[in-house]
Amino acid sequence: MKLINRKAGFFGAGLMVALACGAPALADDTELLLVNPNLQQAPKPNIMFILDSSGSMGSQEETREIYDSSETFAGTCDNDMLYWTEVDAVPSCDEDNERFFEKASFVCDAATRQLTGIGSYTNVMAQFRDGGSGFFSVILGLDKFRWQQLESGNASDMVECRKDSGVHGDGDPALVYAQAGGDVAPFTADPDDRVSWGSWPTSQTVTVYDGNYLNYLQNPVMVQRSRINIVRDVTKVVLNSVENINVGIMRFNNNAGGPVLLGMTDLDTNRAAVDAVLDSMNAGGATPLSEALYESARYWRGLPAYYGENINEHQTDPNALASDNPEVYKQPPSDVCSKNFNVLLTDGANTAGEVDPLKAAELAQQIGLRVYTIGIGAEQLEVSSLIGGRRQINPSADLDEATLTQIAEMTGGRYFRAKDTAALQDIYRLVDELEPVDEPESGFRPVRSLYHLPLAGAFACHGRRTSEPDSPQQAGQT
Amino acid sequence: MKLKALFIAVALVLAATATADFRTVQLAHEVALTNLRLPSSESGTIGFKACADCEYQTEQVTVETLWSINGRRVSLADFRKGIARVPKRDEVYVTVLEHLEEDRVTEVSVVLR
Repeated sequence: MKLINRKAGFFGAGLMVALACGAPALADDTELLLVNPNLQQAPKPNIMFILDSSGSMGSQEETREIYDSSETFAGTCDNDMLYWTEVDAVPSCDEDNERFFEKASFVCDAATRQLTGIGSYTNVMAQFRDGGSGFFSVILGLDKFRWQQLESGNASDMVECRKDSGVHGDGDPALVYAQAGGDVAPFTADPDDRVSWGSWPTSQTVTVYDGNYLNYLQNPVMVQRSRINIVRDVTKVVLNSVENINVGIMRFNNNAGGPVLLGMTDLDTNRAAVDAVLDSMNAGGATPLSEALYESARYWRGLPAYYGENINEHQTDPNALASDNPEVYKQPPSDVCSKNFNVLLTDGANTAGEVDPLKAAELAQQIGLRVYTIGIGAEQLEVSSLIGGRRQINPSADLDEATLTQIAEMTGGRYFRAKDTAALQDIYRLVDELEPVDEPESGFRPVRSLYHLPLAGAFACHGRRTSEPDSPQQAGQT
Repeated sequence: MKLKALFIAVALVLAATATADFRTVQLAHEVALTNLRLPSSESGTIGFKACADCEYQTEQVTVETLWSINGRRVSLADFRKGIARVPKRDEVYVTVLEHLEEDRVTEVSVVLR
């Protein structure tokens, strides 16, 4: 009886392993049915940046210089390496950290822009390497070269990212899929043979940091710049590091509302135009925040321009208009599945205009427009006084965080506070969150199932246990 | 990047760069013309209310203080003339740039339509 129980135990364990491994295969068909095979790419999100251009944005801040990847920064990190992490910490470059690999080994083309622009990139990644010995490694084929999790201490084997799938391999334009299986070439032209990104062992989300960027973080160079310049340059850097989005730009008028300086436009093909509009921004006037938000809602709906028409301090983008006399906005083209939202950046409270900020938010809410709000400004500081002694100054006293939070929450967005250049840069990375899904691969599973391997193991174990008695005594009993 | 990952990244960088927070060196005030009192001389004091409900505050101007209208440098006297006949003074905003550590005004500018 005891023997039967043990045999059943071994078989059951083997069967459990087999079923567990087979489970993704069972999910294949269902998930494939849920995915439109013809959908190559989700629609691009539309992002309208409403940038505070009021007089207070002329405040001069001492801050860290914006990262410039063309400059080489000295530090303990190796500039030729990319340091990676899965956890919520910027990696250190001390001797104990072996989580880095050579830049030359990184074939993730999708990362190029972000690494150049903001020094880091996050995606699901895998390394083409062998690894592991022992029973399970052999059973699972991990002892052979195949795509698997990144290995600490392995600086030379190729690393690829999910976002490159179907777009870029390691140079051959025909071979654009990381290939599943062991002892195979790393890339294939056949999508049926691609790895299943998102499933183990190609499911590891990793952030890679350029060694040069980590050195930059270690040794900040402080500069003095106006808030408007910081916002303008950080916006440019961040937009230059993303792709596959449409952007528009609004600013504030001196006293009422704000014009659409740039109608919704494809960032990838209009980078120079976007940069030119940002370069034209200067600080002056009041903070008609809610009226600018109100005007943006009119733009999104394709309604007649109000502040854009009646106040001609800054020219409305002719491409944002369906007609110019009277001025009527051309509703931005939008797929039913595309995401539309505003990013409203300000350093102050609404100081001008007739529209209540929450009424403007209500309008945005009614048309399903999410608004992310960003408050920029320093913390309270102590400075000397001409009459002697020290005095407390709060340079962000005008920042109405409560209203900005309410605007964001009412519309399903979120409020952020940027207290330094790097934070502002990272907050802007939220545009990444709204980038389209890489490809319809999230529901893809390899057609070739591997469940038979552990199942065979289970049967082999069972057979072995059946043919080999546990003890001579039990042999006699059977 | 998913939003969660973004928030983590934001928190990380905030923590990593805590020593590099903004430090305001010169603070710009948005002042409606109705709330502005110009100095009588180039080394006098300027008075303004930074908001409708704020108290008047006075700051020192010096001969180095820059005065500008529509981006063009002018003298204090010309600045005074330039804004004298502006209608709807509560709708026109002047930017007063105050150097916090030196406790003086470095620039006063206005954009007139």
